[in-house]
Amino acid sequence: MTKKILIVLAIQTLLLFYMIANKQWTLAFGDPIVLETQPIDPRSLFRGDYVILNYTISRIELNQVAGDNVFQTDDPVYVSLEKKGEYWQAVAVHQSFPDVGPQQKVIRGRVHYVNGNRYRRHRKLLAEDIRSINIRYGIENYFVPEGEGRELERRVPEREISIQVAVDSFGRAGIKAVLFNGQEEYVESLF
Amino acid sequence: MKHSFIRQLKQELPKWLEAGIIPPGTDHAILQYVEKDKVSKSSMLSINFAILGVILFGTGVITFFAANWDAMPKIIKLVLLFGVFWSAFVGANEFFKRDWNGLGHAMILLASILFGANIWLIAQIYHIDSHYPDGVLSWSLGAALAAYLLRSQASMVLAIALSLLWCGYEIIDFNHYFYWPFLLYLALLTYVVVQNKWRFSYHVLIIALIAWSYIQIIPIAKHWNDDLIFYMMQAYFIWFVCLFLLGFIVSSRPALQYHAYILSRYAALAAGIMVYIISIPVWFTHVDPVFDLAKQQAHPLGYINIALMVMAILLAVINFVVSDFKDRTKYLLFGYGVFATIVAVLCIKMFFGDDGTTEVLAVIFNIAYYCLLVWLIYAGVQREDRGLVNIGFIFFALALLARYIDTFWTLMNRSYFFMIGGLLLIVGGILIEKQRRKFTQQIELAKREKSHD
Repeated sequence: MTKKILIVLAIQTLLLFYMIANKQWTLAFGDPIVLETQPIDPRSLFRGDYVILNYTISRIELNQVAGDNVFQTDDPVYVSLEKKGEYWQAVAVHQSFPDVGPQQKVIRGRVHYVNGNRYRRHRKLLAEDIRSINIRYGIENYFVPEGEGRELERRVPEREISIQVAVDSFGRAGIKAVLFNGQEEYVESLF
Repeated sequence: MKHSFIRQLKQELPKWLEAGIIPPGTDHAILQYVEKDKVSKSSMLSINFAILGVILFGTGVITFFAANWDAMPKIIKLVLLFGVFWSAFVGANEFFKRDWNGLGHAMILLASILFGANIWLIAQIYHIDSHYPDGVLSWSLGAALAAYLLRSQASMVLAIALSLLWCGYEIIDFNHYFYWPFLLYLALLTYVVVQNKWRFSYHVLIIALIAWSYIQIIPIAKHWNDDLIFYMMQAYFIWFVCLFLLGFIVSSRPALQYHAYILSRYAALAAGIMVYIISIPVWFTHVDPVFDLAKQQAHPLGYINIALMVMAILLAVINFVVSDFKDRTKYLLFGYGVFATIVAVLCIKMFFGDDGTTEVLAVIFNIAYYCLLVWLIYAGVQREDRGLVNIGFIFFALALLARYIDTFWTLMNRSYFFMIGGLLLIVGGILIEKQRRKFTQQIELAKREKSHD
């Protein structure tokens, strides 16, 4: 019985370590980029504060970028980013991982919903119907110490909030730091 | 050994001695042997208290972390999370070494709960925001692993409940219609449950399967009109009838008889709910056919219904072939006749929508429905299955109540409606309960006579 208990303990612990290692690998070896955001502040189940981060790349107008233009809800999507001024902006969107030059980075996401000109039968939009897509990249939630979430929202009009994100070679992203007017306010680390 | 078995044995042993079936003196030896392994009532109580205590402790741990979370540095959070988690396993090991199996299993359940808490808390600490149903699935897999390797039924029940939550999220939040990976996973869990002969878990499994069936309706109902919802419910009714027939077929194998009876009961309950809803006459008069013969087109749901009807007929034929000859003549033929009538009515409804036809169809359907319920009660008596008898009576009473309301709500003065309805409920309830008890006692008597033979 002891041996079996050890096996269960080991496998479950390894799964938990994998969660941490997977995220930390992206943060440690991914390329840092800065994205512009607009936070909203709800409460979390565990009584901590967290913010929902909305990025300028969260909603992409398909007629303004290159790449593919047929998407459905829950499709994987790969967005090519290029640095324009202070922030990285979307320049193309693809259904599969594209080859990009050294000036561009690719971030992976999932189509949250599709905005179309009209609805067809069974709600399936065709290429000519799709105007824009909303994408989730897995960097939309950020937990902050209790009470500071509302403070973040109150600061929105006076202070520009941006997020430093690490993007790895697979397109996975992780939040490295929250920046207020370009200065690091919250920084992520392993411990 | 169960208390009820030992109690019955104590009643039977003097009769066996008297009849000369066993030699004198062996009755004490038999009782000594069975009582050696029995789980005492007090230890059952302590096991139940231990499990309740574990659940409360697990909840307390989670809320403690929640209340003090933001004050702790990351490293302390991780030490606490893994420390408490590993302690549960260490505690389990210590209890099992001392043969305190009840407490050992309670600690295994605690460890399974803490595993899930750790998944969500680590996701929060490291801002892991991915496809959240995957977190629920991981939790379920962890609990299933504990159930399989450590033979923990409590962890298995947790694994099944979490699998339903996982599937619910995928279907409702992500619109994954007919989420079949759930069925594959459930089949895997079923194997472990059957291997360990966990009866309570088996009940939970069947409930999960039926709940999965119902959850499918939610995203579909959001987009479909009443006509398609009716045919979806019809499809579900026939699907549950297929499960019911499958239970009958499987019950022909003695080793699987318990499982077959449970499957039949829950399938009868689920089918009963669906057919109760579609028996409401307004469905027949206001729903259009799913096959448009004039335009020669049909919604896919029409073909799904036809396919399910064919499957039900095939299962009925197989059941007829494997069943005893006396069962065929006693009740199966009548049941098949009633079911064939219901299928015929539903088929006609799928193709024709004339107002005159639909009212006649509604009447025939309801008559056949009542006959089906009577048959269910009779089949329950013949198969000595009290569950089927009870289900038959419950739906019979509900159907009478529904038709009374449909018929007299607009025809009667309100006060008369409620007074007469109340009287009918009281008298009807007494009569129905008397009949139900008569049948269930008949089953008990038949079982006792069989055990004496």
